[in-house]
Amino acid sequence: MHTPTKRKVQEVELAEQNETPKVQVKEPTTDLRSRLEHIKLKEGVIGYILRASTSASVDVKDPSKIIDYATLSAATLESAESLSRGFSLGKIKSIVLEGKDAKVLSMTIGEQKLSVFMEKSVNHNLIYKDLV
Amino acid sequence: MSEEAYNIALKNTLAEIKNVCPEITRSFIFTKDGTMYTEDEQTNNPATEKAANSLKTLVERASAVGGLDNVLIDGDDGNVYVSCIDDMYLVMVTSKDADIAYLRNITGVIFPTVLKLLKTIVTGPTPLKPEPSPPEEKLEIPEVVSAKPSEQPSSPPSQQLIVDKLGGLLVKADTVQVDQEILNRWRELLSTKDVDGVEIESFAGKTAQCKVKRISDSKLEGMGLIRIPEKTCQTLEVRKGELVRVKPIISQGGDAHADKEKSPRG
Repeated sequence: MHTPTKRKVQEVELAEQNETPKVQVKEPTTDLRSRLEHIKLKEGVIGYILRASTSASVDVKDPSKIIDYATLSAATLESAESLSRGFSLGKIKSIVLEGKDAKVLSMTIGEQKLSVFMEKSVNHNLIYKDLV
Repeated sequence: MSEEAYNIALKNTLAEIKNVCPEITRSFIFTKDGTMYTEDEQTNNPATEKAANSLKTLVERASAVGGLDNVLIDGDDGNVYVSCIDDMYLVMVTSKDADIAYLRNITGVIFPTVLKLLKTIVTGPTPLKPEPSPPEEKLEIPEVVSAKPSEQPSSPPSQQLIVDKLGGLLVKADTVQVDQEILNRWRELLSTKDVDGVEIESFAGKTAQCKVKRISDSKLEGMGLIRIPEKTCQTLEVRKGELVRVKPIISQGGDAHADKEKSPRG
């Protein structure tokens, strides 16, 4: 008789534990997503990849490039972190990688890692200002 | 040119860039396969090797955007700027106050020029051997030099020097100043008594011929400077701190300008 009662309590506790971070993260994520939606509409913006610890949002115009962009996004952020540790750069504000065809602006916002892909003609500083 | 000499040339270039941009705390070059090609004196650090490996991965992944052109990592305490030139990647770690736009301009001009120059030298015969110079170098030899080819080295030694403006009332507009050491070296290499003229070439391709004297201000000696009168700076479209290529002009009659005006066959 006592066992089911105990289980119920545990479930409630777990539910509370699970809900707490969701509430904390929800507002900035929603805000960031709405900003990204706005940025996505700008001329020359190719798309974005937003990664959290357990989820990712991908919105790229050319779906065939999603994997390539995702690996580039991960490599950019990892490389920047590695260089920051090695050369004592402090907290990374942004990374701008320019390729021959396009460029990418990457940054960490809270727990989320973001990469915005755009054409080379786009002013990435304006995009950065929109995001931070 | 040997691999070692190639390394030294690149190392010197890194040092020169650092002289122009003192905010650079560390710099090195790596090739596409991630091997370190050359590094400056302060780069003997395990972090450099790690960084090169990390950047190697990034270079591979950058094919998604057509191949890496440049990267700027902006940190709270410093920056890293990576620039791709041919198959080489120049990495510069700077303090947070560094003027990245200036750095971009400097590296964008100096490195491609140096690499192009080195490639030309590597593919051509080594300048230390008494062999005939390649045809494109022959074209650059002033007419006066070609008058006695057997007594001259294959090509006049060119030197990259940093521009310093020369001003004042008593300054002659047609005379530049370089280190006595450089003048001595030219004399030795060219087996001549007098080097009283130089040809200055900016990286934008502008050239000017001037008389040359040793640097009058002893404090400025040994710094790899060429002191150019303001008017000549304007002609060459160069500013203080920029690099120029300087070649000696051998005078037989004593005046470089007079020689220039003479017909090579006359």
